[in-house]
Amino acid sequence: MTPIWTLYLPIAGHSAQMILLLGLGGVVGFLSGFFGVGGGFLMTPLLIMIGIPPVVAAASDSNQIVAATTSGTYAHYRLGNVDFKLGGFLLVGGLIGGTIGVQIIKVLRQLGDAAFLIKITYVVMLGTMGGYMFWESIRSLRKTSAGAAGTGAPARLSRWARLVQALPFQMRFERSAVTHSPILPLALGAIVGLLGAIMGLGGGFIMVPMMVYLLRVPMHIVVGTNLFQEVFMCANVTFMQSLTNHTVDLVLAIVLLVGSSIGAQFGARFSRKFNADQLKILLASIILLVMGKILLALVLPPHILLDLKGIR
Amino acid sequence: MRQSDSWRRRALPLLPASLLLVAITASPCAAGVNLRVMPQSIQIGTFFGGAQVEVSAEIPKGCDAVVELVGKEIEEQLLRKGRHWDIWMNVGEIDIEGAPSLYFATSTNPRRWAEDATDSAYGYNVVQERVSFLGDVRGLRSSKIFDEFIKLKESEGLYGMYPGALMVSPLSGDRSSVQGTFTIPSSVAPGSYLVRLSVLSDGRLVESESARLDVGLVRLPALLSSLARRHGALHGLLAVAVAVVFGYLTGVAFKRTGGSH
Repeated sequence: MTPIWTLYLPIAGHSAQMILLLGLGGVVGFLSGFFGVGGGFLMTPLLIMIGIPPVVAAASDSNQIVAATTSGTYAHYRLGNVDFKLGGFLLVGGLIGGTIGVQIIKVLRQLGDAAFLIKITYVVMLGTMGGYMFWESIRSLRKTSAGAAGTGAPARLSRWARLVQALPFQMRFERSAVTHSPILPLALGAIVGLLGAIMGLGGGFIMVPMMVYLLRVPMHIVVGTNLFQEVFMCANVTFMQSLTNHTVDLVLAIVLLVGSSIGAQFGARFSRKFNADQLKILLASIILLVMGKILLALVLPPHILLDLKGIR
Repeated sequence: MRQSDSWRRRALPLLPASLLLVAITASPCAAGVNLRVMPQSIQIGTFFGGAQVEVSAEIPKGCDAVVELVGKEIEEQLLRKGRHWDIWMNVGEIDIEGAPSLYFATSTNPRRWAEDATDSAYGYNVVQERVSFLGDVRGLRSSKIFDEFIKLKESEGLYGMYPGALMVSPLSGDRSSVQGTFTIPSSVAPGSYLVRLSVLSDGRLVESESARLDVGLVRLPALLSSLARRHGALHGLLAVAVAVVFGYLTGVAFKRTGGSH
């Protein structure tokens, strides 16, 4: 008699321990609520590590992210952390960028260079984002502890700020307390959507630093707003994957989303206990750890020189 | 005369088989092996985590036995890893044809399939003879690809060789009972599998018997698998709806329990 904590995953084609899947969902959901990222950059590699075929891991992960981000968005909405206006522009841009990204991947696959590009994009993006976020947050913390940090605007406008202010159709985003041209969130959304499509992720870990550093949105609004736009991005990916590739494992996704939805609630509450710089340092550390793992897998010889393509 | 020629033409191909039959019936090892497989079918349900299949038979004393569990031959696409600009990545695709989807072999003789053993009639050698590799195989020996293929399949739990794991116990008279267990991984694909017992005397096949093992999806896995493959749009909508509703309900539940600010 098989114990009931072993679950058969019909699309992945093998079983997994329910406790392990719930735990993975819970931890990644916690991080999702805590940092406002979907957690795809963590969950997909973890699922692959426990033997889920990569294509099923990525597609089912998108499905569970829909639940985690819905749960997280609701929690952050009640905390007043969601800027729907800004999120709407980011979402439209993201959908456009994602569509372009899917076409780029299709062309690269035909050329045979897709895998290399995807992995290098991962390392470069994670390394750049994580490294910059870590360095900037440490610098900010040091300034704060030395009493030299001001909370107001910098005395002299940076070149970036001058460029952003020169864009047409400037409008006020009340919730985020910033004024920008809608071109900016549309363009950033498109870039993240494009990179997300290439890397097979929702792209939250790219979006969060971009919103913080390029849109100058307060960290807690970034978290809620990014979760809001990721709900729609990942719902779209889930549907498309299910329709075209049949790779969404509903059993796997349901167990993960039970864990992640609950974890996201605790993550959202816990995030209030940290200041923005501490949050950024923690997220940057996780991003750099994941980047290190991918880099090691790229440079160390593999145990087996063959791998399955797709699922059985 | 014509009738006699026709008979000869039909009978000639049967001659080797007839000789083998004579050899088998003349051998002290040939007396019916009564192969039993328990269970005869495996149902993959919601909580399936693999299964144990017990195989037993009766063989004459002094004979060896080999039991194989073999899946149907399939075509698989594999990704070949290689070093490119000092980075390990997928560098090509290799199509494999003729390999069984599952292969287990066990024997009464613990020395079978040893490094220095000359016997190659059973085990991975047989698989290797049937397999062909196509696609991006440049610069790789076929034996090297096969070794890597076996490593991959063993890591999935779908291939295995267990010399000496078939237990022999004496029965009354000149018979012995052999018994072994195959651990079927949860990654076994639905379908029909062949359990084949070969009885050997001095390394020569004297008798063989086969049985079928059926593996199939039932209940929720069967329903979801069918829904995902035949009605992708409906499956996708269901997946999104379940996720949104569960995420929202979790949010509401935490609000009611005072879990959030």
